[in-house]
Amino acid sequence: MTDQPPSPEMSAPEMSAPEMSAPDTDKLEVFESTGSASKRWVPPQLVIGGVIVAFIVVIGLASLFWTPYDLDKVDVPNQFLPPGSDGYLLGTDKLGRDMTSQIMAGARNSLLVSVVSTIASLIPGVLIGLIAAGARPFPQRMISRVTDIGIALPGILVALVLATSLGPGNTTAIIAIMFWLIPMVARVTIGPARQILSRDFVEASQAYGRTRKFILFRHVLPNIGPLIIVQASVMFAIAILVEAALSYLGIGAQRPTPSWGRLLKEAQPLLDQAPYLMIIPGVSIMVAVIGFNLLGDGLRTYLDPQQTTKGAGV
Amino acid sequence: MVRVLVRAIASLLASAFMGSIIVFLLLRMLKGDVATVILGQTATREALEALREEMGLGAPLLQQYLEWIGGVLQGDMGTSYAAEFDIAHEIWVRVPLTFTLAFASLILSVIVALVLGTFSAIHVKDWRGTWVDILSQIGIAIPSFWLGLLMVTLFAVRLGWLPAGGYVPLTENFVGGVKSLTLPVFALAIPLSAVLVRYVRSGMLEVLDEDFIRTAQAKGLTLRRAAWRHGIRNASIPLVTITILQLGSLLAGAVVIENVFTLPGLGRMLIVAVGGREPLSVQSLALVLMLMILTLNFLMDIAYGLLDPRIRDSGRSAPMA
Amino acid sequence: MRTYKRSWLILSLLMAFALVAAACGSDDDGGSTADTAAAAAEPAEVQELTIAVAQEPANWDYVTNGATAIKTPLLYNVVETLVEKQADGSVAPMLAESWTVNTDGTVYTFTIREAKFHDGSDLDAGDVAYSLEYNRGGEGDITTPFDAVDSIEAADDRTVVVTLTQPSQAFLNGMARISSAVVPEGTGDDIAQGPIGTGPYVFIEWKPDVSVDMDRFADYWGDQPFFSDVTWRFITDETASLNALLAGDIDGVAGILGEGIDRVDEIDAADGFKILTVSGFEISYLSLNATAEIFQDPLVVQAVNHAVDRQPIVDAAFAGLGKLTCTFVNPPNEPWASEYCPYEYDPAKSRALLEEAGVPGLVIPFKYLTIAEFPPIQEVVTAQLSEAGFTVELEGRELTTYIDEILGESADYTFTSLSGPSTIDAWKCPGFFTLYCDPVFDQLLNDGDAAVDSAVTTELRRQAVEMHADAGYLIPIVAKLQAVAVRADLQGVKLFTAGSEFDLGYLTLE
Repeated sequence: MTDQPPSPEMSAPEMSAPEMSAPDTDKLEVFESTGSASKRWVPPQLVIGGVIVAFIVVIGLASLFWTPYDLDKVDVPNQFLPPGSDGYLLGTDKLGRDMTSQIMAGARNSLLVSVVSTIASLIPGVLIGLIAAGARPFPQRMISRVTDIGIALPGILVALVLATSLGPGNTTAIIAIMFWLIPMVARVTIGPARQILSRDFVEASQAYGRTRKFILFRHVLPNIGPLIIVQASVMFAIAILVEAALSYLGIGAQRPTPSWGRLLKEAQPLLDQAPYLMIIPGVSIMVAVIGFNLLGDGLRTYLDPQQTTKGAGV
Repeated sequence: MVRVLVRAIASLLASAFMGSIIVFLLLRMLKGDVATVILGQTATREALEALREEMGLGAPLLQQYLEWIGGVLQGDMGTSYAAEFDIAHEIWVRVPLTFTLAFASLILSVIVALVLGTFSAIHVKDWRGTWVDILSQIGIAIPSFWLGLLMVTLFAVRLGWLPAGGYVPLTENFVGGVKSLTLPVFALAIPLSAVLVRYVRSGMLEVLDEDFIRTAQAKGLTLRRAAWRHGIRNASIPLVTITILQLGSLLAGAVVIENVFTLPGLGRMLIVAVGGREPLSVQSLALVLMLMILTLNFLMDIAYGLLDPRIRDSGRSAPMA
Repeated sequence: MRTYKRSWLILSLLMAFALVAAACGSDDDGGSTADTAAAAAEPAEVQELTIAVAQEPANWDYVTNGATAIKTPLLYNVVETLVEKQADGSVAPMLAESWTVNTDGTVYTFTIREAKFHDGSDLDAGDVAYSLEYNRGGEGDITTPFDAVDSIEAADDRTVVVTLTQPSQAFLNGMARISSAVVPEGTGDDIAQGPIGTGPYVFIEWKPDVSVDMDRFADYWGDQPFFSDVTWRFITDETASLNALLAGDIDGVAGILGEGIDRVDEIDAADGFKILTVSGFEISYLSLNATAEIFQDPLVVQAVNHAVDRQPIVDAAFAGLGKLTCTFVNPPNEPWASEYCPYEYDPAKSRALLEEAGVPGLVIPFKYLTIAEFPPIQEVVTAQLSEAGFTVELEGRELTTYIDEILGESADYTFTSLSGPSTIDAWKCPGFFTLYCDPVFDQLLNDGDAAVDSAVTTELRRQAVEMHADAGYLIPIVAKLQAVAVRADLQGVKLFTAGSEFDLGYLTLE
């Protein structure tokens, strides 16, 4: 028995959210026969997702150079201005800080957390997956056991414990997210990697005298590459949601680090008084997550050789 | 067959053992200790040292681990330092709430996913299917705690239909219990059903094209009835698998939701015990949660292995749907 | 086809497993409630009350930990003191029917009233002497009134004699606080699990993370209270507790201190609810570590003091509620209260002082607690310090880690924001958190305590608090306003006469 489940399995641990999936193995064909891209149509999800993600990246990067107001400028007389007020597109918070500036900078922070935690999870996760796929049955089982434990370990616990020693903040959030993602990436990688390993051309390569390492990195890795790219976009989405949840529990980014999740936490007691303070960051999170998920869906469909409508939306 | 079973049990035990070490080591990273919590901010260093001594907080790691795991193996998880309650009993008292929450959300999500997923697959070519897609995308992206907070404001504070938080055990007051769980269950179930609906839909779509559906239609069944009869079979295995796999994240999501609705379940216990620097409680609780998830995986392995010869022979890597 | 059925079988099995678990667990619940029902007194008329409290203590040992969270449900409800402080500042009898003091103020003789403990035993002088000794051996604020105490003796069944080495104003005041809480002889070690007392309510059951349940005590020596069953519910999040109040799940929220303070106006305006406020027993302050390297230069300490503008801090963290103060007088209505304010808000002056000290842009590490009112205080103070030419380095900490780090003589912090119910006496050498030491300041307080004439005490204490404000290591911000949110028809909420209690005995419904 192996531990590769038959179907999609990866999901945000903090809330049931976007799923990560190993594509059906038959679809992997595409990764060997590239070059027919010109014939493909671009799925609408790819376009919509791409536009949303691009928008978030642009406002996030822009906030590094310019925001309408100084991020932490406390201006109590101008507190609780509703969205659309003169000079304040999204209004101001309890201390009179401009919400537009905070949302812009929050985009930057969400991107930072998700990019760092995704990359930091992908590299070890894929490595572990590849090594496991290429290993003999016993070490392979051992690695499977460890990833099982990693998945079963309540990720929230890692975050809570780290927050006591490192203090609440982005570092704590990123490490906690890595604890969640690495075993999942490893698990998602093993199956497709083994499928590739069983192909004829790999056997040919073996016969040709190539080392195991060469085969894993030169044959297997490029072939599961597109799959990894698809997963990465979904991991971005997961990271954004987890960061928000950790901030809600008070163990995510603290001021002056801007964060959508923390804006939600701060707005919570003011829900009756100034509901927009709760709605705006919440919608920002949703839009970002939708953007990354659509991008992932779009890429998956785009890379799907069958290009049938059934792939759309799934 | 026996070999398969023995091997699976052995690996479950090995995982549990490794897991206990990982959890134990993780808890050594906890900064600050229970003596500080008990004495509070007016404590003196001397009083803290004396209390630590008394509680045996400074024992060597290996000794601490062996004492803990030895106790657990005999069913004794020890007592908490400050409140002095029996940890095993405290966990046991909270299991019903967290399990009810998780399984009620699960059942609700599966039902919603089956209905909407089938609907979407049948109407794949028109706007009704598109609407389900859009709803599912939104549902996946909603932070569940945010949804929970909005629902509290609307249904509890504004409309006063449901309580804002707290838990009434179902056995004490059934109606009150159902009311206290309604909002948390929905907050967990909405994002989950948005995930599940996509699997139902794709499972459905795969069969709707196939010949036997056309045959069934030709025999006079409506597309909807044909879809229900045949499509659900096709969608069911990935659905069950994903559902079981989602249990782990559902339990984690419950931690946050229990916090939003102040429900005294396992998740609250985890947060309170970390805040109260109760490593024994946290370790034992984490071990229990890990064991639950590992056991579910184990049962799934066994069940698939025993029931389906095709899977048993080829390993579970074979696509089943 | 077959696999389809099997997969549903697996799911059904899992669900059945869950249901069995749920059923077993609840049986267990049933058992424990049956036990408590037996212990309850027979109710004349059932009147239930549920009050939310934000913090759940680690246990109920008020003798080793002075936290407000411990005292709020217990004081005057479960355990009672020898005497009780009245709203006008006078001292009234409680468990001591009467008392006398000798002419030089060193021998107090208390006559103890007839009363029963919740375990059925009778209160006598032995219990009182035991409890006073026990409290005297505790930790922190509870022990300070005993500083001048030489001996505590039960002269006979009803008489307790306390001999002091010198007169002490703090002693009788302390007997109206938790320091004289009485439990049956020999039960000190049981306090942590819920004390046995003589109060109108019996501590029935503590359900960790959920509630503490109390029942009316049928043999109470005083008038029977209106409510028969009281539940203190722990709701950590003030938003959640206020929501529960508005939704009608609970009857009141005791002590709104954190983020809930922003909603005080909203609750007060809401139909059927009211907010009661009273000047509280907690002062919010900034603390400078007197042993930190950067504060060895008095110019830097002055620069910090001139940088602080109190009103915006109070607006941001306490919704503008509370009494701004530059001196540490707690409670703020003490006779030695002072309007003295040595450092006016002047960021330009701070900059000049830093220049003068040769450290423009000085880096000041600011360690802060990441819960309750502390993040908004940190944000505003950070902005003010930056304005005044400092470079602030933030270090956010979670509660226990925070306390662990800032505590003791080797405290690992430079500058922080705190809040607490202490009195100025806590800053005798080494000062509470500040580690500030000045023998003259200590002498003023000691002389004030030993003075027989209370006018002299008042004068000396005023000098001490003003001198402490001059030193500048402790920067008081505001005497907090205690806010309690309750149903509009709940009457008789008696607020905070001894610090941190929520007296249930006078509550009724309209």
